[in-house]
Amino acid sequence: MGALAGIKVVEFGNGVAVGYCGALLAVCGAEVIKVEAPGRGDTVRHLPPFGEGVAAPEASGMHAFLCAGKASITIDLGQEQGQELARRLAVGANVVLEALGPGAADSARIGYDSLHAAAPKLIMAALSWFGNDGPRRDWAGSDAIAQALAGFIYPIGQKDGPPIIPGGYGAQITGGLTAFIAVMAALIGGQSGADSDECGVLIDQSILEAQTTYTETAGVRTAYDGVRSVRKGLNKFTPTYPQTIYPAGDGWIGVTTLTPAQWFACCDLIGAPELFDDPRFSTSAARNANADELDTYLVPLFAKRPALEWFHEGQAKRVPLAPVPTMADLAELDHFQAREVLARYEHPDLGSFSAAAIPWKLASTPLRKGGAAPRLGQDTRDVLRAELGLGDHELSALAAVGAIGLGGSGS
Amino acid sequence: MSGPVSGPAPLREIRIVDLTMGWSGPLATRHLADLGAEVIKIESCGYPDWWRGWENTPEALASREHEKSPAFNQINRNKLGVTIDLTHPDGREMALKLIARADAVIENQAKGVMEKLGLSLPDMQAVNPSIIWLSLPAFGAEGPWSSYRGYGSTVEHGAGLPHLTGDPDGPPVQTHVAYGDACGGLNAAAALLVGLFHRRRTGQGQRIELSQVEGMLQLGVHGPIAQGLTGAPPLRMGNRHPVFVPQGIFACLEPDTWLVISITDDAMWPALCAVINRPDLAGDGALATAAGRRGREAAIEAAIAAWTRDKTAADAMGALQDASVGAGVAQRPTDMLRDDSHVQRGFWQQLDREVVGPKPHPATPYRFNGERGPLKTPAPLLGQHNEEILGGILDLSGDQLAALEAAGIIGTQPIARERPGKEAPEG
Repeated sequence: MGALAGIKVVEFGNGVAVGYCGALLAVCGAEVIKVEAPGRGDTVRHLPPFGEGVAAPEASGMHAFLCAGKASITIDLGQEQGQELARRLAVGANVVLEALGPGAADSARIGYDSLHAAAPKLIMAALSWFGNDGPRRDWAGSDAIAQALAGFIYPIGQKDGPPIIPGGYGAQITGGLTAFIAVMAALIGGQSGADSDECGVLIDQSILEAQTTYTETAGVRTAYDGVRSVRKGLNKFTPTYPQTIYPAGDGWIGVTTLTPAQWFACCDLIGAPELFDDPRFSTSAARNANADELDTYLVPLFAKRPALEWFHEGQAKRVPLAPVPTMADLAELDHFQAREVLARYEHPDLGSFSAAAIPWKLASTPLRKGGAAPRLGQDTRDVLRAELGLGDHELSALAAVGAIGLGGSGS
Repeated sequence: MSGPVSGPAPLREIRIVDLTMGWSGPLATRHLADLGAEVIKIESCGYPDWWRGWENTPEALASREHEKSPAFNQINRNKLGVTIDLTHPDGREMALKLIARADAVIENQAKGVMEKLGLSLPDMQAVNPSIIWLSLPAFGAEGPWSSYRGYGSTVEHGAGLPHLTGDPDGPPVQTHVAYGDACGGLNAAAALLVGLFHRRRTGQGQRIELSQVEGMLQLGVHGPIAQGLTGAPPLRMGNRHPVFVPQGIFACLEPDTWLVISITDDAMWPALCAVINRPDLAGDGALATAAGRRGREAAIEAAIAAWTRDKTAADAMGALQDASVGAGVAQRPTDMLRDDSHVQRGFWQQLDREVVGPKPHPATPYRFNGERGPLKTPAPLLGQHNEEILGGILDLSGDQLAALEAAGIIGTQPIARERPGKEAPEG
């Protein structure tokens, strides 16, 4: 049984960040109800990759991954009756997650202050690009915008070219993971006793601030030494080299050598002991300064053998190498197979596919791996019956005015 | 510790024994310490945390270089620091006594080191049957590669993430100097909290392990999803986006200044056209949808570039965001200290520390009822809390502490020895 068995979570809003936070709670055993807008649903349902020949909003692999194990219900938060249902669900939960946009939960009458009055122990986490206040509260965001403003993008790319935007949803995954840390801490705080006046928490999670985790050290450092960040070159970063990727005889090999011992072992590995004695490359600072020259030696050498050969021999010599596996390689490599890195995900229209499961290994409370994701609104009827005691007549009346969708037909 | 500081402390009843060094593990315990847990960081005079970055010269020792590392100082605030030589039987004994009184142990030693030190899980369970033990090796604690080592860069490589970034016909692109470290630390904090919740609910401890590579893989999870669902990896699109059209990065007035623009929905398109003075584009019905714009993306990008090139990045961002168009300056990491939003939301806070004086710290990236986790105490000086912890928690007398110090088992000065240094990544 998962560690969070018995914890009830209601998730409102759009995007990968809140979906990932809810997914982490779900794999730990919490019951998670995803509330979506009738018709279009969560914006994640419109993100690629899509299954072939399947129409949105039931085609997104991202949705199937993020919503696995959750229930999906549709409620129109723009209608008073919908707001009342949402409110009743929220006050019955241990945790409410929302990413409706700053201020929108208040407008829908499920803001923290009003819920707190009815449910004083409720933990609510609001995820947004820039936080619940501040000069950018209402600005538009994206993974790329958050990464840009967090100082993450500037150092990536050619020295004399534009910076490179990372592919994917890394800022939102980071935001969801960071919000999960805060939610778990609040849940533990709530275990301290019902009399605690700290019960009931509104967590304000800015995705930008979560993303700053990766760059804050550089920001702090400049207060010590005044040095400004540079963009050094493609696959090159200060202050050390090599800490890069080379084409191998087959695939790509990631090469990092920091200590003298690692550099010595690396030179030995590639059959170029003379490089270790070369003063241009004798320290990691010198290698950093002469990185392009060093590449003229290392590029042809690493091209001589397949990545996995370099990897195993290098690691045996304690050189921190890694192959750079393609997405197809992940399923083939014995290490990832042995650790069951990939799990099966399912969706009624997409079928079953493998993807990288949330990876923590807790011996006594293992995470659920993979699982089935719901069609839009497929659980509206069951959830509202079970949680709020609504009968068929009430459900039909609510559906008739569009306050809810009863699912199955994309509504 | 110093006097009470107000702020959220939901973990105030939790005690962690922290054997981690570098960035990853210490980031995990920083989250816990910031939220009220008592984190006891164990170093030794022979092996201080290598993120202190000290050089082993008499001059460096005399000027206390090991207390001047920005990276070490910002990641270890709010923690208590003791030095214990774990290779000495008396040192091991003290560590086990601390573990007996702790909720969890976290470590990022190389595989087999804990066992070699006599601190295996059975050793720990003998003194504390409900202990949680978390480790976070680069490739995980089990499996064919589990003895292999890596830095944060190795972790990004090993997860295959570089295949998800860059030009369609270009090489894989690494995105960070040590991405895997910070990502591993966040995953460790999260997993440890799940274990702590379960422990307080049931009294049951457990072994927790995670592979930093697998944590990193989650940041690019669309990659394995695409491979599994469609049999092909996601297309690398340079700076473009699979859904948002246009998305790109545009040169601004000052040299090497850049603005990211993401048109995340169709309603932004006419607003963008208005800001860049291109009503002709707004009026072209074929461009009203992302699908329509995709076919003419290069021309659209050229129109945006013509507008940004004589604006400062900040002005261009402001003009676009005022019109509800998604835009963000590609700031340098070292310029984050001046970031408007960070400053106004109280993200940066000052903490005074001996040797280096007041320095900025990133506060917790979340707020509880409007408050961030309080900055209570600066990172411990080497062995700073030996007396407080070993005397206070383990009840050792002053004489006993003096004897331990004389025997070199505890102390406050690094022991000069030949050990290769490692520069801390810039982050």
